[in-house]
Amino acid sequence: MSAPGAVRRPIPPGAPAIVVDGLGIRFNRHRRRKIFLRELLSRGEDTTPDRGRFWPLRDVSFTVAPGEAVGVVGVNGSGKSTLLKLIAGVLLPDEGSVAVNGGVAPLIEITGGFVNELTGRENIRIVAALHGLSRSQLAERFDQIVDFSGVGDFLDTPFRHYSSGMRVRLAFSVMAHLDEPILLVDEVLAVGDKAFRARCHDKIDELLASGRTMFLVSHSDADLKRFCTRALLLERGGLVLDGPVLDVIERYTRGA
Amino acid sequence: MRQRLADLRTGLPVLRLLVRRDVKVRYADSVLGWLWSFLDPLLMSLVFYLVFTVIFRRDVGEDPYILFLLTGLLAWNWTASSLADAPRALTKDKQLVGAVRLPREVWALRTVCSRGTEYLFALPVVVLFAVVFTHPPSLYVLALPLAFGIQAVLLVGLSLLLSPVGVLVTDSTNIVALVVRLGFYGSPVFYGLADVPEAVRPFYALNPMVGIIDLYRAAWFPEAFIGWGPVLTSAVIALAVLVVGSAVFARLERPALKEL
Repeated sequence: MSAPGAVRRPIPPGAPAIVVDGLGIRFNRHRRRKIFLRELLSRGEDTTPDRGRFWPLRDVSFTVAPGEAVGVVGVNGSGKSTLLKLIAGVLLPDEGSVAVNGGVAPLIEITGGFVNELTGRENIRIVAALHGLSRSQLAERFDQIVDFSGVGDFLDTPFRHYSSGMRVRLAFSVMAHLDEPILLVDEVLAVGDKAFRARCHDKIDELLASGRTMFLVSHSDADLKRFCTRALLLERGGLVLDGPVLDVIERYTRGA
Repeated sequence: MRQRLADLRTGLPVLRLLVRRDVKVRYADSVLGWLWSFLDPLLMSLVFYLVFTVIFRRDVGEDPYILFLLTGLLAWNWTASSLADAPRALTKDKQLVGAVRLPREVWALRTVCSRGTEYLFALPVVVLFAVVFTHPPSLYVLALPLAFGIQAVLLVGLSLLLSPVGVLVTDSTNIVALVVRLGFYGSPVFYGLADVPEAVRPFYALNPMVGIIDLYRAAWFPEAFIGWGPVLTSAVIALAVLVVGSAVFARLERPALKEL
């Protein structure tokens, strides 16, 4: 697994971009203080059955080739976001493994790295660098990022004065200009006004055309059909169908 | 372990960035800006100075007393503020922790480094008072990096220990606040190690801040330096804390991330 800032090996031809094998993560309904003692004192896996535990995701295996666009479909609570977070490496699995070939640009909680006290300009610099963009790369793309976000005159205004739409626009714009070969997109397309959404769609088309791998969590059939060729259907934490996007949407609509 | 260290190396540029951001954010909207980083300990020192020279007849510490106070207080403040931040290290920026794939140790290191930077910013005020009182430093000034290093190891260890615990056990913030408040009186801040009865010193020096502050002070008050014993004790304890802290962090990282 590579971390941001690591030397990224070019993906050898034919090697998969993402390999998910027997992936599972266990959550705990207990009070946190109980979890604390238990995890601190127990060594390794504790297999005793426990009603306080549940698996938001379990026994999920699939492989994604470079350049593929994969949709993730399922009702609320079926484990879609958890899957994305595991691939992004911000959650750690309890079972199985995730191997990611190359860096990941997670469009999950995209405004997370932005701070209210700093201006848009300062925020762009910091967030881009947090995601592994070098100073010179940023200098090249800075104007594009600003143009795309459409924040214009607000560039030197503290972030706290931004409207929620502007925040998301700026955040999306920074993330879309990263170099990472894998994009993880979680529902961000649902925000922003109509015009911006259209621009986002064009940008994603452009990124896909340049060979990025994409993972898209969405409840919008139109978005899924537009970008994805393949989709995964999750049901109560299990992968129930992995196939062409139209089949998956049909099955999902029938089941819902 | 080796893997973790290798991962951590890749996180270092980001760490530098986060520290710079912290410093920027702290002073972004304040009028006095970075002056605060030494204004605060300076005013605190003045209060102690007045209390102990005007109200009580002081028979502890060294002269000039204000210099003596500042050397101890600034070092103590680094510890106090790092410890206060540590239980919140992961929760404060949980959105960022949940969106950027970084070795998670970075978040624990970041609080120590940000507060350490603030400490370094404040040090000129010590030099200023040394000049005002024409009080030249001793050769022990060369040992300052050592004191700084031991303190850094200690704080990193404590921060690694406290950051995942802070996510899981919410009372850790209160406990830490209490320990810090007591630790202030249990460390040689407004008095010196030399003022502690000799029979008690070996036990007293089990507080790792004792050896550290004593070594910092040796730079200005070599005659009051007790010797290298307490420093060695501090170094050993700091390393032990680092080992325990890393082990706890490795074990609690996974459940803590789930609870963010």
